[in-house]
Amino acid sequence: MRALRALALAAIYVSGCSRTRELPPCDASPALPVTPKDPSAAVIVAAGDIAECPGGRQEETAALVEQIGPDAVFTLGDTTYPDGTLDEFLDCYHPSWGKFRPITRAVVGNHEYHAPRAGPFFAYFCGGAGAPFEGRASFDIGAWHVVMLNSNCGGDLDVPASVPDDFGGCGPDSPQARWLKGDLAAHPSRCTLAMWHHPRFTSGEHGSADSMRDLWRILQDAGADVVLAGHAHLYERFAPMNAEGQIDVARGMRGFVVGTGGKMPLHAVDEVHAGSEVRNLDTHGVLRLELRSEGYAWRFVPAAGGSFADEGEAACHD
Amino acid sequence: MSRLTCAFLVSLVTTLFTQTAHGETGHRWSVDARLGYATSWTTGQSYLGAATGLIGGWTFRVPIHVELGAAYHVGSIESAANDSLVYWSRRRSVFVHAAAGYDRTILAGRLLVRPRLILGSFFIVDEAELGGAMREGIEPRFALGPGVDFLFRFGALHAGLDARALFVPSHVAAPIGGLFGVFGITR
Repeated sequence: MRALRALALAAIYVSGCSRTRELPPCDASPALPVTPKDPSAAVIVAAGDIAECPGGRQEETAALVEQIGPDAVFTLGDTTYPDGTLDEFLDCYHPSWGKFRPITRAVVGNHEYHAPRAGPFFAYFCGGAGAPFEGRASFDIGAWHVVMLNSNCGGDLDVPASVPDDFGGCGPDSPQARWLKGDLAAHPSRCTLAMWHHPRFTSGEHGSADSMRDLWRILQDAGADVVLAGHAHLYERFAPMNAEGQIDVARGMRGFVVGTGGKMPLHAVDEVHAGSEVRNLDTHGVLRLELRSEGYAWRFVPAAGGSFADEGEAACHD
Repeated sequence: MSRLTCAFLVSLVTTLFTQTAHGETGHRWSVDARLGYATSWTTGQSYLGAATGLIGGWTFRVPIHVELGAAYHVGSIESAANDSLVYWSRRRSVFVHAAAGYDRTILAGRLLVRPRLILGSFFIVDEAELGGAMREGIEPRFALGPGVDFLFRFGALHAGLDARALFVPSHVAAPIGGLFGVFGITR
């Protein structure tokens, strides 16, 4: 058996199917927590569904990030298209959004799992995507506590069925849920933001991720305020929502879907989801969030040629 | 049933009946080893590449051929590293299939041409290791498509080529093409 394995490996090397690429150094990779320039108003930029070569608009959205000059960049999954390979990260994402890698916190999308166990994604972001293969982490930025979760819990035909075993799934008693409860209990911050790839609520054509209902409820019970997601290629802002999909100003979390990071084309909307306050289907861009001591302000920043705007502010839950 | 399908079936049955009536064929079994290469039109890490396999077949008196087979594809390895991190991933697969085809001999019986329909499943093995952590999993992926054997006979032995195109009805999968050398025995 060992001889057969050696023979197979030798065949791979001889056939030229094996190669080693050089990763950018991890020395400048994210250190947790993030220290903002102004702790009372940390500025972050968020977007998902970013790099596609050729044809994506990631260079334009990267220019927006550069203009804004944020304290941190939150990428919301489907970082590269179509397959999340090493080549895509190093040759497509890195030349555009790669300059922000030292301040980037990245959640894992479904396209990353076209590569074995999303390995290139975790390798590229060093520690900025959480522990290897788990894709969950938390950190503080200014007055806020931020939680990153892995939402690849079924429903996507392109994600192998065994992937939830890698990180513990999304059920109410899953390892990820237990970790989340423990993390929120250990960080009783006034303001909390969560982010993952599959939106719990969206009007986009991929639909809402019911698999995130239990994790949404845990966050809601802990008084979290904002949830960021990608996956649907549009911009959408929701009213504060509870886990069951009802507007709940007292206890609900406000959701932003920002799948406008560069991937072409943007999605259509079949039916507007309850609680959806703003939608845009034709403008790439990024979300600028100012995380203040007792609240937050948002502004959608369109790429060149776009005129869509959405801005506002709200207080965190008491 | 379309006119084209109906005409094809009538033609097939007529041919089979005629050949049987002339005693051109007898039932026989065969075992083939295959060695070749397959690739898919995708930019992702390959689970195909060089392959070896074994096929057992049976041809009825009417020259309908059925077979079962398996092939191991060595796949590919990718790796990346910097001063503090090493990443390694491997993807490979086993293809298990059943097929049915039709044997047609030409060149005075020296060359056998066997078009066939292949149904099967790839079992893709993913492995990845990063910073001391490792994950692996197996993913089945159904595939079907046409293939054709060109086999030269040398007594009970035969050798030739097996060309196949497979379509994978998963929304992330790309078509697959494969070419194999065939070496076998027929009794």
